[in-house]
Amino acid sequence: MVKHVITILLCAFVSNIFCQDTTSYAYKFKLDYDIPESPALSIVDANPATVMRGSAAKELAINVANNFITQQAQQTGVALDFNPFFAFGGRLKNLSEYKDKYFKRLLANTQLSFASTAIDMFPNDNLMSLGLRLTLFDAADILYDQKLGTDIQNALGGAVSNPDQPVFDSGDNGLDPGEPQLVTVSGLADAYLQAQARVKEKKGGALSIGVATAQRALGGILSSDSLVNYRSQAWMAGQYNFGNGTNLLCMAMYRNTQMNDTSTDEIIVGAGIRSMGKVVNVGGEVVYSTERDYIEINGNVETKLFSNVLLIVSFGNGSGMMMNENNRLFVKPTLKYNISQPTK
Amino acid sequence: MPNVCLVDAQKGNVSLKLNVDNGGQSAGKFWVWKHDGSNYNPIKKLSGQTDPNTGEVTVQTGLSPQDIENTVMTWKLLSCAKIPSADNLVIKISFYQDTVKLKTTSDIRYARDYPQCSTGQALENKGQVTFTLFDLPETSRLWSSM
Repeated sequence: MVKHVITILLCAFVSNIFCQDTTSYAYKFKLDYDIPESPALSIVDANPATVMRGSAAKELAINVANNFITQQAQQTGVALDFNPFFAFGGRLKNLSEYKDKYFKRLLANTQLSFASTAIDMFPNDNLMSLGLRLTLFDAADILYDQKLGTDIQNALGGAVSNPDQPVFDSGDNGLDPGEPQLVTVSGLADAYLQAQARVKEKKGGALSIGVATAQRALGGILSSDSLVNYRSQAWMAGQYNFGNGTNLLCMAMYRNTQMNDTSTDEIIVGAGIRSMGKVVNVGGEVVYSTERDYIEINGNVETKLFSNVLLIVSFGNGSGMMMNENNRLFVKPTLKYNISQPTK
Repeated sequence: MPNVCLVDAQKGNVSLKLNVDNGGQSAGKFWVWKHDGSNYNPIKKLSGQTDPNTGEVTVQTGLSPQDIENTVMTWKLLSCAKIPSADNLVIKISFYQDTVKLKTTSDIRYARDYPQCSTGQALENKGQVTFTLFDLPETSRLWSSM
């Protein structure tokens, strides 16, 4: 019960940052688009794949990890990923500033992630994690697609309706007497779908770095003296897009875990390949950990279950550090909720 | 209270600049209306879309100060955000004669969260401004140019 209270408080805290405007806009999950994993979930191995992506951050995402029907390690959790630069008032003059100024682009592609996770290993505690991810470059960044800008320009230009006649009572200083209207613009969503298809065909690499820390909230209580350091990690993840929806991924990670007064350092390296389709994504990975001195071979299949809900089935001979026994076959279904994709 | 734009009778044609920040994109229609004693009739229909990279567009009205005197411009804008997470946009309309920015009694500025263009949706803003001519005495012009 207490765990759920913490989760709700976390959501309330983070949602408060974004609730300054009451307008909400529709988003829909789209499968064959490259959304990076949540850094705060990676530290508790709640992401479906161990080898992470190197691509740039996309829109605000809420990830709900829920590994059901698992044999060993039950994990439920929620992570909220957002961009701290924009969330706390950072601004760009225009898109040229994003394209031309590396530091601003770095800030615009920073992903901060909070997660609250419950795992079977600590039945009485809650894991609170915080992760930060910086995309150093991404050759397939959709914001560099010049045609997308022109297509948006044309779609908006063609959809503006004729201005009204002047009115005597023109509202506050002549601006918007009423609440501005939300308009569905013909061709706008298509412009994005076409741009995403172009980006998918583009060859090139992406590189990101990240850090994360996880604390155990003893007894599920969140206070300064109830938090115990559990794990810290830093990683670098790269990917190469072959231009046909297939990516090669690689990752190197340093991880420190503290359990029962023992501190364990390990290096985890991994490589994977992933193919993105319109109906299903298929991936495979090979991961080696110095601590376990063991090679994991895992696969995962992702498909859209409902609108915004993704079903991910991971399988292999290890499921990350939550699994204590090596060489044990597992099948781990996970549900993920993501609001980061457009509706059409 | 209507928003009034002061146009210098001694300067050139009036132009408008539409600007959106944070990588957003905006398009607008701007109609200039003249009252004939009983009705408003549009005398000029203009439109413009911001450049995807600069976030700006300048629209020439082609109207001299004498043509634009006591007319009202109304507009509708459609705007959306393009950079992920950068939903908060500031959209400004300003008027110019030559390179001099004209004064309006209130800034024409919309600042709020806009939908991501990727959602296929945009937010419509509208507004109006009345143009009034002013003619500075020659001595004031000399002082201001010194």
